Amino acid sequence: MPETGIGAALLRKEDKRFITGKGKYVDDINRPGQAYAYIVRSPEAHASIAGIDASEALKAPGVVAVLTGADMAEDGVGGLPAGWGILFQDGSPMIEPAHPPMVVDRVRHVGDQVAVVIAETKAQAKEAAGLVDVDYQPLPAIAGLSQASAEGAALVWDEAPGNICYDWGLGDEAATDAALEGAAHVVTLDLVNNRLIPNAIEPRAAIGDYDATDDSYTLYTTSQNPHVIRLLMGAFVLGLPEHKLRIVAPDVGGGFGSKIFHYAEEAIMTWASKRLERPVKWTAERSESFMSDAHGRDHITHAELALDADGKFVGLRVNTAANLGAYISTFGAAVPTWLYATLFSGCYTTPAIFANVKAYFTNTVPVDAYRGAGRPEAAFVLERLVHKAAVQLGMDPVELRKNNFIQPDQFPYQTPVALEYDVGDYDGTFDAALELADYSGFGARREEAATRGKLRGIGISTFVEACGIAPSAVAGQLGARAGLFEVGHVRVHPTGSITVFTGSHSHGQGHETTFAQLVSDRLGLPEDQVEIVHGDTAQVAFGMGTYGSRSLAVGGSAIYMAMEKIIAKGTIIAAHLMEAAVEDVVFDKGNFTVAGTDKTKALGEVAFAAYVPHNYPEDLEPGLDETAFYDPKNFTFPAGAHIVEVEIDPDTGVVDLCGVSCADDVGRIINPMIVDGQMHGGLAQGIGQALLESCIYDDSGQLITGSYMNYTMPRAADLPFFKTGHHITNCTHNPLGVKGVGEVGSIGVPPAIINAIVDALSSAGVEHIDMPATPERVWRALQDAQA
Amino acid sequence: MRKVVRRGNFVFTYVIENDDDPTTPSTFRVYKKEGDGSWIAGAGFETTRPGTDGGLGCSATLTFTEHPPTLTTPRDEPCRLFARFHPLSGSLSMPTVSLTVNGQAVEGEAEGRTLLVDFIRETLGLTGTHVGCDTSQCGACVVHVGGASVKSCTMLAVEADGADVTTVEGLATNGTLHPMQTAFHEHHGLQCGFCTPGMMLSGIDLVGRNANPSEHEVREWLEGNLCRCTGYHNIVKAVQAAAAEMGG
Ligand code: FES
Ligand code: FES
Repeated sequence: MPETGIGAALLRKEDKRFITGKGKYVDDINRPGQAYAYIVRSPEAHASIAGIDASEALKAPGVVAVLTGADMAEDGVGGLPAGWGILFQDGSPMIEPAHPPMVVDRVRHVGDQVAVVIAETKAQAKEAAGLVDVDYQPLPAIAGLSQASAEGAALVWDEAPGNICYDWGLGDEAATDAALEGAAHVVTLDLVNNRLIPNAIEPRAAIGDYDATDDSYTLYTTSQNPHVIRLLMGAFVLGLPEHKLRIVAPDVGGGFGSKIFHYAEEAIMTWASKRLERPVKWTAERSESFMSDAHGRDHITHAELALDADGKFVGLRVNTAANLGAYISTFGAAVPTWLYATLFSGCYTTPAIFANVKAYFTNTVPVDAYRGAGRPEAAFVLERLVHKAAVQLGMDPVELRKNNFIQPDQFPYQTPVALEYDVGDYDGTFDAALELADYSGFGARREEAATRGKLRGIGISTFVEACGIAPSAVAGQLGARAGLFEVGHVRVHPTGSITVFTGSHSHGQGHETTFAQLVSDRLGLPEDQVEIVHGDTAQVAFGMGTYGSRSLAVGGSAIYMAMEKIIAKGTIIAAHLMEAAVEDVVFDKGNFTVAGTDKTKALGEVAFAAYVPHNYPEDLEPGLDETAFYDPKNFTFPAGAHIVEVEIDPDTGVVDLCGVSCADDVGRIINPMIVDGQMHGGLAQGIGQALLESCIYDDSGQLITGSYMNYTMPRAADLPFFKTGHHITNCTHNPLGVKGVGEVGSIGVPPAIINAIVDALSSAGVEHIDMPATPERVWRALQDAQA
Repeated sequence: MRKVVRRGNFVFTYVIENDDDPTTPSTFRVYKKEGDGSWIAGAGFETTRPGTDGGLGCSATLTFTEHPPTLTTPRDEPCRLFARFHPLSGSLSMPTVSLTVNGQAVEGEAEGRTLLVDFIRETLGLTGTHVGCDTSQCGACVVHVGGASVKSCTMLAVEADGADVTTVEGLATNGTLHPMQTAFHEHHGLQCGFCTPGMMLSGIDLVGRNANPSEHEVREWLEGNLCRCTGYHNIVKAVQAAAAEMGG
C-alpha cells in the first residue's frame, strides 16, 4: 500500500483538533452582543391558531422580542422552497403548498414553528417561551399513510385532495403488465419501510449576524451545503442578494442527509438579527431535533416480481405510498421518485419494470433524504422479493441472483428505469462477499446452532446504487431546480504550497485528508503542504455541497480538473523558463521536465515565477490559481454484496448478529481507512433500521419516539465488528474512476438482515417480517407461524 | 422594604430595614418547594463575602447551614448552595462556583439550575465538551469529576463546587497526546468528532478500572455514549489499543 497519495491509508489531518477539543462547531461560536432564541413549537399535530398572546412572555426577565409568522409575513418573507418538482403521471405538476418559516394561522405537525422568543440568555428565552399563549383549535390529524389514503380522510392541505402531493410513474406499464400476466411465477410481497429519524449527534444550530454598517448578513449554520442554503434562503425566502449574504458551515457533527435542507430556523435567525440589529443564536435541543429535523424513509409498498420457468426475472411492478410529511422539504419530492424507482433494475436484467409512487401529505415532520435516500427503500423491495422468489421457487438464492446479473460485457447497460450503468462486475463483488462470509460453511454453523437450540439464518443482498448526482441537464429534465455540478479551486502559493477551496462539505467524511491525497498524487507534494478549505461562501467560489455520496466523484473531480489547468499553465511557464517548446515539457511528480533531457523545474519554482514574473512568457497572466466547475457526465454506480448471518433465540426472539460481511465496488479507493470507516457508519445505520429504529406517531399525530428514551439508537453493544472487502471496477466517466461510498452500508444491509431472519425462521414457516425486527416482533412472528 | 426573589425551587425573601442603607439587609428567609408542591421555610444561613458587587450595592454570598441544603452530590456529600443577592434591583444574582478544571483553579457564576456542561462550555469557554441530548443519554458531555467519568449534563454546576474536573482540553500534557487520543487518531475512531471527547473520557475511565478490557467489555461500557458516524467499530479498536498502550 502506498504511504502517500492515492491508495494510502493516511491518518486524518483533521483529527488533531477534534481529539483535543478544538473543533469549532456552530454552538461553539458566540458573536459579540448575541441574543438567544428559543422556538415555540406546536404541541398539536394539526390545529388552527386563533391567536397568539405574547404579552406575558414580553414581560419576562431578559426578553428582547417575541416574533411570529405574522411579523415575517409583514416583512415579505417568502416560504421555504422545494428544490425538486415532480409531475403527476398525466403531466400536471405536484401540489406544492406554501411553507412559511413560521406558521401564520395553522400548524401542521408537532414541532411546527409558531413563534420565536429572543432573550439575553438561553434560559430566559426558554423560560419565556413557556409564557407565550397560543390558542390552538385542534383539527383532525393525519398521523400516517393509512390515515392519509383512507376514504374521506381529513385534509392536511385544502388544495391537495386525497392528501396526494403527486401520483407519479416510471417505466413501461403495459409491457410490465404483459410480463406479469404471462409469467410462469409471480412473487408478491407487501412491505413497510420504517420511518427513521437521522439523529446526527450534533443538534442543528444557527446564528444570524446582521452587520448594519454594510447591510450584510452572516449565517453560521450546521449545513452540508452552505452555498445551497445561500441560494435558497437568499433568493426565495429573505430576498437577499448573494454578495450581502455569507453562510459559514464550520465543523459539522454529522449530517447523514438531515443537514442538506434549508430549515426554517436559518431564515428566522438571519431575519431576526436584522430586526434586532444584533446576532441571534439558536441551538436545537435534542427533543427539537426529533420533531424538526427532516425524517427519512416511510413507505408502504406492494411489489410483484415475475419469473419465467428458469428463474429469469421477466417483470417487476411496484406500487408505493410514500409519506412526505406536512410540507415538501428541499429534496423531499425527489427521494421517493427519481432516487428510488430508478434503482429497481438493481444488478439484474429484468426487461420490464413499472413503478407507481403516490406521495401523501400527513401531519408529521417533513420527510427527506436520509443516508441512502430512496435507494435503501428500493434495495429493500428488490432484495426481499428476490429472497422470497428463491424460497418460492425452491432455488438457491446465490444461483438465482447470478442467473439474473447484468454481465460485465453488457455495459454500458440501459435499464428500463432511466439509468444507464457504466460499469460493474456483480459476480466478482458477490464472490468476494461469499468468501468473506464463508458462505459455504454456513450449513455446519446452522447445525451447530441447532444443537444449542438456536435458529441460525443467512441472508444476502446484492444491489446497485446511483451516486454522484448528477449531470445538471439530466437532473433539470427530471425536475431538479438547481445545477448539480461542483467547484474546485486550486491555489498554488508563490512558494509552492497549495490551498484548495472546495464546494463539497466535510462533516465527518475526512475531506481534508482525502482531497489532500488527490492533490499530493497529481501535483507531487506531500499532503502537509496542502490545505483544504470548505464550508464558507466567503472563501469558496461556489458549491453544491455534500450528499448522495457525491463529494469525491463530483467534488474530487472538480479539484482534479482545476489541477489540470494548473499543470497546463505551469507547463507554459516552465517551457519559457527552460527555453523549451511547450510540447516538449512533461509534468510528473511535481516536476516539469523537458522530455529526454535532465532540464527540470519544480512546481514551486514555476509558482514563484508566476508570482514574481520577471522572466515570464509574454501574454500570459501572472499567478497560479485555477478554478474548475465540474458537471458529471452520469451518475456513478457503486454496487455491493452484503451477507448477514443471524442467530435467533426462539424463546425470546432476540436476534444476534453473528456476521456482517460486505464486499463493495465503490470505484477507485483514495484512502482505504476512510472508505472502511464510511462503510462501518453506513452499516450501523442500516442495522439500526433493520433491528432497532422506528419513528412512531400515535393516531392523533403525537410523536411517541421523541427522545433517546424511546427511539432506539444503535449502541456499541448492539453491533459486531464488520467484515468489509472490495472488488473494484473504476468509474468510466469521471477522471478519478471513483464512485462513492457514503451510503452503501445503509442501502445494502437492511434486506440482508431481514432475509437472514426470515431464513432462520423459515423452518417455522415465517415468510416476512417488518423492520425493525425487534425481539417482540420476531417472537410474535414465530408464535403466529407455529399457531 | 420587603423583597421576594424566586429561583427554581427556592424562594428568598429579605427585608431591608433601613432604606437609607440598602446595602445592609437584615432578615432573610428561604423557602424550598418540595416535590409535592408545598413550600417549606427555613432560616439558618451565613453571609460570607458581603459587599463585593463593585459598588452597585450589596452583594453577599449566602451559605446555608441548616435548611435547605438538601442537594447532594453523587458522592453523597452535602453540597454548599450559594446565592448572591442584589438588594437595589431586588434580583438575586448568581452564585459563584469554584473548582479545579484541567489542573487550574477557576471560578464563575452559575445559577442554581445551571448544568455543569453549560458552565464548562459557556462560562469557562471550554467548548470541547459537547451537548448532544437533553435526556442524559448521548454521552457527548462526558468529563471526569474526581477522576470518574460523569455526564456533565446530569450534574449542576453548584454540585461540582470544589471538585476536580478534567475535560478533553486537559487530556494532553505539555503537547503530548494522551494514549487514548493517539489511539483514536491511529485507529480512525472518529469521523465528525462530535462524540469523540465523551468517548475518550469514558474510555479512559474504563481502562482505569479494567486495564485489559475485552471487546465485549468495551462495548458494554460504552452503552452510555452514542456515535452516529463510526458504527463503533474503530472506537472499540481504539479503546482496546489505548488500554494496551496505557497498561504497557
Ligand atoms: S448531553 Fe449529556 S448525555 Fe447527552
Ligand atoms: S464521530 Fe460523529 S458521532 Fe461519533
